[in-house]
Amino acid sequence: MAYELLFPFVFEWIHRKIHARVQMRVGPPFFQPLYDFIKLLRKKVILPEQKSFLFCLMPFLLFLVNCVAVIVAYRQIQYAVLILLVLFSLDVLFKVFLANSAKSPFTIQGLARLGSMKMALDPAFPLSFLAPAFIFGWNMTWPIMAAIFFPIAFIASLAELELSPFNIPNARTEIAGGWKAELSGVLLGLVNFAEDAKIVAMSLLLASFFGSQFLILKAILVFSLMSLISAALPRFTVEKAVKYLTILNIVAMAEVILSLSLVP
Amino acid sequence: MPRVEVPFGPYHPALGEPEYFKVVLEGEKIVSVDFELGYNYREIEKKAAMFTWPKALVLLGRICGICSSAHTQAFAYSVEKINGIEIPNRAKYIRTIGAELERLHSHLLWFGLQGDQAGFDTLFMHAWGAREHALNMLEIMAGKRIHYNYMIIGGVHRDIPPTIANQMKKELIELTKKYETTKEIFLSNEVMIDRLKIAKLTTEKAREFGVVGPVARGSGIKMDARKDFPYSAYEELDFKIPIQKGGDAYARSLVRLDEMNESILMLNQLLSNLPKGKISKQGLFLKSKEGEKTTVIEAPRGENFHFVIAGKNTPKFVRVRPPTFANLSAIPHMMKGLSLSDVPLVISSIDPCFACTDRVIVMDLNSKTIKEVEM
Repeated sequence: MAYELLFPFVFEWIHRKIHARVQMRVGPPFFQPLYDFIKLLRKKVILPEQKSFLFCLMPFLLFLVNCVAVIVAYRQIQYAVLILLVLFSLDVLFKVFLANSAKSPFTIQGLARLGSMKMALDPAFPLSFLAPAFIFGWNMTWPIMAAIFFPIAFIASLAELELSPFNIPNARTEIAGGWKAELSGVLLGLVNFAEDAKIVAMSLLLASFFGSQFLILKAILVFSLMSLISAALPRFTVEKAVKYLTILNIVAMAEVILSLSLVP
Repeated sequence: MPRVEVPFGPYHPALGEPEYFKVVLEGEKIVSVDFELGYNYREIEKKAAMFTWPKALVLLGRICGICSSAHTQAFAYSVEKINGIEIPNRAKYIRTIGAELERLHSHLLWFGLQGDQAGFDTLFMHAWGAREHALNMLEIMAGKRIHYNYMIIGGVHRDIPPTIANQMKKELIELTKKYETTKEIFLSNEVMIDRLKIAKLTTEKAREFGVVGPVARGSGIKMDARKDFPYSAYEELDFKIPIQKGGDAYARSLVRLDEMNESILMLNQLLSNLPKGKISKQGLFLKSKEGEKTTVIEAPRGENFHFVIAGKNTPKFVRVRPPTFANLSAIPHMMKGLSLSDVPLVISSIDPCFACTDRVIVMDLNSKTIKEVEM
């Protein structure tokens, strides 16, 4: 049994609870994310007028890809880092198809933002995982030395996961949810689950920078830090995000060149 | 680059009320903005002319849930001026307490919404947490948190005895603490401040568009109906009018923050120095003289203008010019050259209230008459 597929609900609860405590609220009960998922599965699906068949297909593919990512990350299978990077790229590709197939001004605007964010993020995000993989191996069994790559990978992951302050492609108050704008019912439920599953996979990958023992506990700590940062900052504008990510790219490249030149 | 038209409304997560902004974009950059009013028309002015005075007063309070006191006060003062009624001093103080509490809860509501629109929910929750105490004070004072219908023509209908005043003072202390925390969260967040340095409106442009209230004061124009045309107990109070010269959304935010501080200080003065005496001049006000008068009240969002024509014992014509109507015209100018991310912040920087704003008037150019219509 792939019981690790319940982790996305736990991580979603942690995210909501931390946000609630920072905002002086009580926060939801433990099973609330599960209830929400079940509720969305039972709700009526409203489809946009000008959709293509991809609109209904993509949420299922997103769900599948991210479920596989959680299993790969949790079981630390061979070449896990490489497989996860491929799965994360597929996730972005499916989001692009999904947004494009809905053909609403909000999804198209979300798509444009998604594109510019991914372009800005491109060298930093894969490099921050590929560099330790080149040095310490392609499995997620890195020594604690790998932690020097953590800060860059952490910020890049925050942007990749579209958490505040980088929640630009799905900004609710600006473009009504961006690429997610037209989703409803079971499709929205699956996409929400897929996003949470991506968070779990990413947190596990980030936790492996600190050694491969007690991975899930470390992943929870890493994600709690992410949640705290996202609760403390407002959303960047696209220009600001691209500017900061460009700086991140330069730092990431410098760090990678330096570290690779030091390794015999 | 192809142009995309992004509809901002009538129903949009960033807008609390239905209003339509047509934003044309080139990539992320705004090329042009247009807006349409009229999604909220409720015939209030027309209905008011069909009611008796006490019923019309209640109806006018229903124009807006947040500026309820400003509208009833403006209407009541207009009617009192027509009939030559001077309200007791204690009633003046109670009206001022209501008005300043309204300013506090309106500004805290705006403060939270501004945070929400920048994707900063922490600020939103803290500001609304502080607002709860302002609403609690209104509930203690008037019996209701929203649509606190404490006013009658000739005074107010609920007194504030010392026990109630003490309860309100306790709530005010809590409110002050939470206000300070919220202010600290806002002012210590560089990202938030950086996002607000947009939508500049110079003093000249502000005068040209005829903006009012905190929007005008944020552009360096010293105007406030509380000082310019003193009413209620404002003449007897010691308070400042905050002015900022920046002209951007951040300057407008600072003006509102300082105004909240002044309101807290004013409430302390008012609750401690309530004069003794009656709270109203008379009972139910049913018979009136004929005549017409205008009144300007400083609502939380700016100058609230009421024009009332009294017929025999009933209102004949009521006209309301709320502050948002004056401020909205500056929006397309402020948005020029900005990006889509800034649209919600620019709209929230004028603290719009569309429920107040939507009026319908038909001008017949041939016969040169103005009339209200049914929709």
